[in-house]
Amino acid sequence: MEYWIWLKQISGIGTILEKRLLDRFQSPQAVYEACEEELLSVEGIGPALAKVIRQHRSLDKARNLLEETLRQDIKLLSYHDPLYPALAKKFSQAPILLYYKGIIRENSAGVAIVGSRRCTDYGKQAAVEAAYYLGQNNIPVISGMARGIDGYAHTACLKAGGYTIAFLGNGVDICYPKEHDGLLAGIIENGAVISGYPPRTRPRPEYFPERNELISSWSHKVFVVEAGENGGALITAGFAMAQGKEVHVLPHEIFNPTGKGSNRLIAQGAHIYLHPSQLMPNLDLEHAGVASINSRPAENEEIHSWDRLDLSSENLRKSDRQLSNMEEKILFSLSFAPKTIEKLGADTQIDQLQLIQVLSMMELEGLIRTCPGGRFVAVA
Amino acid sequence: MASIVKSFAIWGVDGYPVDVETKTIEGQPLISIVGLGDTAVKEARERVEAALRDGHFRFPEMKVVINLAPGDLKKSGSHFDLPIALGLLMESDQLHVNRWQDFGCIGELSLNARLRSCTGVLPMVIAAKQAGIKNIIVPRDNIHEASLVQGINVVGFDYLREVVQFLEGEKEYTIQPEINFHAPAEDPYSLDFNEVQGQEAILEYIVVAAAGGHNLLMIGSPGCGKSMIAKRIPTILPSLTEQEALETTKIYSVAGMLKGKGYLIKERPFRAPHHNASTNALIGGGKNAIPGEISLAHNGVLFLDEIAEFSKKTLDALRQPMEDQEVTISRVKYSNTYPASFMLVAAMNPCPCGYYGSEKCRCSDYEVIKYRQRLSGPIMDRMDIQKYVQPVNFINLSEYAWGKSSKELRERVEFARGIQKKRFKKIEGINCNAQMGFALIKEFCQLDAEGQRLLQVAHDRFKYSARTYYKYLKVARTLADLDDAAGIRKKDVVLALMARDLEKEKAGMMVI
Repeated sequence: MEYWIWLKQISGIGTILEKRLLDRFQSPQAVYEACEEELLSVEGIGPALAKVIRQHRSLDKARNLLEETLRQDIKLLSYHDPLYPALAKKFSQAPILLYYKGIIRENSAGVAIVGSRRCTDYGKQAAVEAAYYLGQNNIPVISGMARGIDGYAHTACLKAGGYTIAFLGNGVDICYPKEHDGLLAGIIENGAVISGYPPRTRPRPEYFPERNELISSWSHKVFVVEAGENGGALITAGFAMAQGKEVHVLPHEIFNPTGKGSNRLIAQGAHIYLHPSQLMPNLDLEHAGVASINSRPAENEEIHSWDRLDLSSENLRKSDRQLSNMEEKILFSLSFAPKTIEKLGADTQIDQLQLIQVLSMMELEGLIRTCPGGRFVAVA
Repeated sequence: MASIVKSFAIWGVDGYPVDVETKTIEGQPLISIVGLGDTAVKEARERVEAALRDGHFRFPEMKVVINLAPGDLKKSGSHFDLPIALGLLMESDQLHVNRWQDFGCIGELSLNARLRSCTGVLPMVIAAKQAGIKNIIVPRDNIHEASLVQGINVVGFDYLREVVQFLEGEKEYTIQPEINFHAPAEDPYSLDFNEVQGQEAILEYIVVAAAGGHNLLMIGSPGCGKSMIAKRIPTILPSLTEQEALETTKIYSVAGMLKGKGYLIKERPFRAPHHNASTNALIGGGKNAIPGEISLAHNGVLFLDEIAEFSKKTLDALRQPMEDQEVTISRVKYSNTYPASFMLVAAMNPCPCGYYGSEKCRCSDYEVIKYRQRLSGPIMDRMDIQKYVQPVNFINLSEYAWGKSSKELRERVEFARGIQKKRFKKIEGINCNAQMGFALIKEFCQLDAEGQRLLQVAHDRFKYSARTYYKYLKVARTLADLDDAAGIRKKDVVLALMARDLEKEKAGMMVI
């Protein structure tokens, strides 16, 4: 493996050249041992570069790095590794060597879920629902372990018992952001964290676009949950479009700055996201027809939304009893937007004291659920 | 023989008798005060000398030794001025006590022989009564406070000369203080809950908290009315009993915080220390240990606004006093115990930005959880009721009906407290539902099958811990008491399940 590290470390040789060298010499060791004339036979390698390669002919650095990697239980994924997804290799800039922790399984290419760090509750819900769905359907969820949408996507996928991969803009031995240390451990256990950067690399802004490219290249489809005017999610979407991937975008209110980038993507021709099933990699949108994505499936279809995540216990099946007038009224009022008891009372003209009692009961029956900030919403 | 004048000192919140012994000895004119007095006591000699000369008395030109017995207990305060002055006058034959053989006195002297008020009068007079002293002389300004103790003869004066004339029998005591201890108990509060409008749901839980003695945590965005509600909670607590009023007044007396002329404190105290408060300010302490905020809130409400901003250490120091209802401040040489039985009402923002759940909030689940974890588990655990307070649309305020009045709510609270009093009559140290331990909960919080099933459903759904389960039982018990129900009904369980908003939210948090 040290030859792989060595090849990657040579400055002046980019991914494309590395791959040409590999094509010509079959293995990095052969590159290492090649003489100048042999090197010159590769397209793009001039006398200067050939000299650089020859001058770099020392494995000390690479050996140290390898030692360090092994000590930290970090594994290496080389371009020739059978686990390197074919999908990812289609991308011309696919790195010849990746560092990772965890397990890279076969068919690890999946669906990317990306979005802003400072996200809305709406974005969070959509990300969680999609990730949960993909997790349950055994589709890897690919994201970047950043705050906000990325974190929620990984977490929801893990909670659904799914497999997830996080691409980092730093060494895989560093947890960034720090608060995700629990999440990092969870991903390592049931997925992988991957980075093109050797261990001990600290996160730097210029590293992240490269990571975003990786996220896109490992994915069949990219789901942009929330993107502001600029930011990582837009960059990822840009790469995805350049790589010819299907980009699905959650629509946002047009007056809201948090979704401006998202809406612009839609205007540019991205798919409008309506339901997690449209993210399934083998679903061909052109043939599935508009109907399947234009309406969310009815309640009894096998969609598993995250708010019903904890309802496995049989007590919690949706009650099939006849609802009272008051309950109907409440359910109707709560079906558009989450409301506080105070607001609900004002809207329905039901006494607040009566409301608490009815709401508590309805929540236990799974008709409504609690939202952040002491609000309630009807379970769709 | 030395002259002895009886006075008193403060130990914690209680007084104890001190004999002020004065002896003149042949020698250099010099006055020395022994008996572990603090600086205020030592400085008494300068004040007394000036006051005696100003009052046209003779200051003995001999060596004077003054001993504050018992000599091994630390004493502090300026109220020894008067007994020292009287002792000196007696010792130098300028004062012959003809009226009383048995009296105690306290009071600070000004340089022109006026009597100044001092702190801790109430506990000292109580101590006098307990020591069997029949008559007590206090500064005129303290006469109301001293008169709160019945069965002891209290006289109050403005000048040292008046005291001397009175004791010699030259003048009669004529001033009768207008004592209105038994004045009709009108509503002492200027605030009322009927000013809180459009928030009936949260009010219901505040009544529950007050009725069961449950600690309360209010969560809400800035300006939603948390403080407004908290300030009104004392108005719905049962009125202070005479015993409680005396206890509270004693603490304020010792802390030197009795306002006005020292009438009995009749309203329940409401203390709202700022979140910058030090541990000692909250718990009590200092070089000469004095009561902290938790003792000043004794029998009342301790309101910690922005509780998440308090230092963790300070908050955790509250745990033991909350458990024991008193706090012991230990110094190397002594320790003081102050009562601290209070209802804790706290308020905090739901997340770092304060607008959790609204459109503008962009806090991540991790940040929210981290913010809430500033309250340690044990403190959070002591908050039986955690409710969101929602902002009221104040533009439409005129549309809301007036809320229920404090009086109406207090009647409900008093009723429920009455039931609890009966229930816990035989159990020492337990007065209300919130204090029930595991065994008592088992005994008094039996559920019927339906209630049991509902709690089970909630437990499965929100992943409640066993601890939380018992909290709901306690709250349900209080709800039943408010309705005079013998057993906990389904309705009580349903309502109790809405009492802990934060816990429910935890189930929806996307974190690992």
